[in-house]
Amino acid sequence: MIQGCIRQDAKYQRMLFQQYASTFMAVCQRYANSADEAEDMLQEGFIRIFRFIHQFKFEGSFEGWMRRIMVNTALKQLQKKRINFTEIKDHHADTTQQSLEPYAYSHLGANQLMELINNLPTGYKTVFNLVVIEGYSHEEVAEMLGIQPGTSRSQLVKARKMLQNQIIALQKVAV
Amino acid sequence: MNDNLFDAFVKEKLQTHKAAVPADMWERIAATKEPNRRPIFIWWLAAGFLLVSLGTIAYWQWNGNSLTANENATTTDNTVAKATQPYSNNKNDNSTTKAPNQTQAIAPQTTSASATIATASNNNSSASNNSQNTSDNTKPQQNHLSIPTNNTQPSNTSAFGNSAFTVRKKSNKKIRSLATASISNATTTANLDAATFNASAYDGTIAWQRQFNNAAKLNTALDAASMIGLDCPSANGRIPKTWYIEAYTSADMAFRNLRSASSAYESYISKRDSMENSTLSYTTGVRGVIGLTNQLFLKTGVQYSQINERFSQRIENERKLTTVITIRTVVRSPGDTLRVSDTSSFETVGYITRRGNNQYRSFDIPVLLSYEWGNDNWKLGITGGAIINVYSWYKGNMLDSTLLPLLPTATHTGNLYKHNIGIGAYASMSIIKPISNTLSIFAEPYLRYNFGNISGNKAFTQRFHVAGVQLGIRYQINNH
Repeated sequence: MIQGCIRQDAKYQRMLFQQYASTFMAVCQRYANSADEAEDMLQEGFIRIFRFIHQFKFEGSFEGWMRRIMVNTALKQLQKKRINFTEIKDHHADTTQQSLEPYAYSHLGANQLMELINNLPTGYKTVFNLVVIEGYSHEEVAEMLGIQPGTSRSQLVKARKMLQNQIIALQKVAV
Repeated sequence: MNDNLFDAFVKEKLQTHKAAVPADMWERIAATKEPNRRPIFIWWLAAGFLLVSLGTIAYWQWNGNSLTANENATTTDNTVAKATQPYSNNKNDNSTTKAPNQTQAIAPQTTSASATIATASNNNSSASNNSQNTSDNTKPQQNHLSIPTNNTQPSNTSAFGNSAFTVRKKSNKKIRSLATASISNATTTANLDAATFNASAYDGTIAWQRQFNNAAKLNTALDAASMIGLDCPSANGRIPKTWYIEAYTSADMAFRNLRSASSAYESYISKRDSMENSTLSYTTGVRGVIGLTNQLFLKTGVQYSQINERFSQRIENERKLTTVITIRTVVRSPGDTLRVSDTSSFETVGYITRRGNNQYRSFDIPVLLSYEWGNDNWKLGITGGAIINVYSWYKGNMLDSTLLPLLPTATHTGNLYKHNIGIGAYASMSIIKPISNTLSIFAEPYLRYNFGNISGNKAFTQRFHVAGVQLGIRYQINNH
């Protein structure tokens, strides 16, 4: 299938798309601020994959290679809108001095988590996605986003705290 | 510790998470992939077109030179062979009967590939020459047609100056047939006149006058041939090629053809139509011109075109709701006070108008054929050919096909437009005014019809057709 895509064969390109589109759509949704933006990211990401697939050296995971392109595409689109990494005052900061216990969030499904992450400010959300889900280090994130590693760390802490506060708030509503 | 557990939980849940993909996503991706392949086809087409053009020029050049050389080698012999036969004084009867035969022999020659007419005049004649010429005239097949004008020696100078001319083989059947018809008529007339002359045994003076008349007829035929684009070789026998260089600028008006691919995009098209208006555009370029004949020219060069549009979008900027509460106190009697409050509200909507200029720019290669005629004071021309786009780019404000965002583009609009718009047809009429031996000015109203769709996606098709008036100067590089 990869060789077919390198030959720009539409049949294999479509197969590749059908196999990975839903996975990458979820990736794009985590970075985008709207459904339309996520679709644009996915479209642009696949176009880039097909354009640069001949550069894949068959070393490591092909899905990982594609995911990197998809994430970079998403970041590029976000950078056009200039992500704001300023600190946001958290009114609930005092409520979670200690970390959340696992039983508090173990019942959450993927869709609920997606919603909660999408409620985060763009800067928080981007750093959280890159570090926690994609597994990049703070140095790599700093290079990708053009910020200081310290900023990445602080954004992650704030993002995690805000996310946990949202989970606590959900529990209160449920109670 | 708990943070790490939380991170691991989120990662586990979301890393393999899948989301629904819009049904038309693949079509959208496929639509944006296609333009990448098309320029390759366009380039091949353009390369083929140029190759054919260059091949034609090379063939023309080679063929013209070879014919000219052949003519130079054979003209003298034919002059020897054919000259003076109709006016031979010592072949009274034979010349009368031979003249029609000669006409018959000559007539088929006019259908051959090439014909050379050599004229010579001299008052001196000799019997030996005449007898030799008589025997030569019995040869039925000649590649070249010689029309005698008087009793002559082979080395005689021409009565019409440099009157030899060439009809190019395979160049233009119509031109050739017209030229040969003129030649044939002149030849037939000359031979019949010669026969009559011999039969009535006029003296040399009358023969001179008659001969002069024939020469005048031939001159007329030559002039006719010259008018339809036949070449006169230079002193060294080569057909001189005329080279020019033209520089021009034109004021253009572009006509946009914008259509939606489906009814879903009708609103998009109508919105763009209301927001974008064509303004004055321009083209400027330089092209080389080579004269294939006296009147047929091949032109090619490079030109830059810019189509301008005025963009104007009125969008809602703010909405202000104003609530007015009026409180009145009504004292109906002492101690009985009524407080009345009236509440009214009104909404104010503010609009902002964004204005800008959209620019569609392109570099093109024109490949044109032009036919020109006229006199030394004025010339007219008609031109047609192809305009091959090399590269196009865009600048300005464009509506995205989703209608939602307005793309503030710096240099291009992503996938919205192509970078190669293919081939267009070009047609024009021109009027040329020579102002010196080498310099002319010209005005050329033209129409450019683009076949290619510049839209980069399938939501809509967009073409530009351009009409304008080129004003330019033409400089003759080689002056012969």
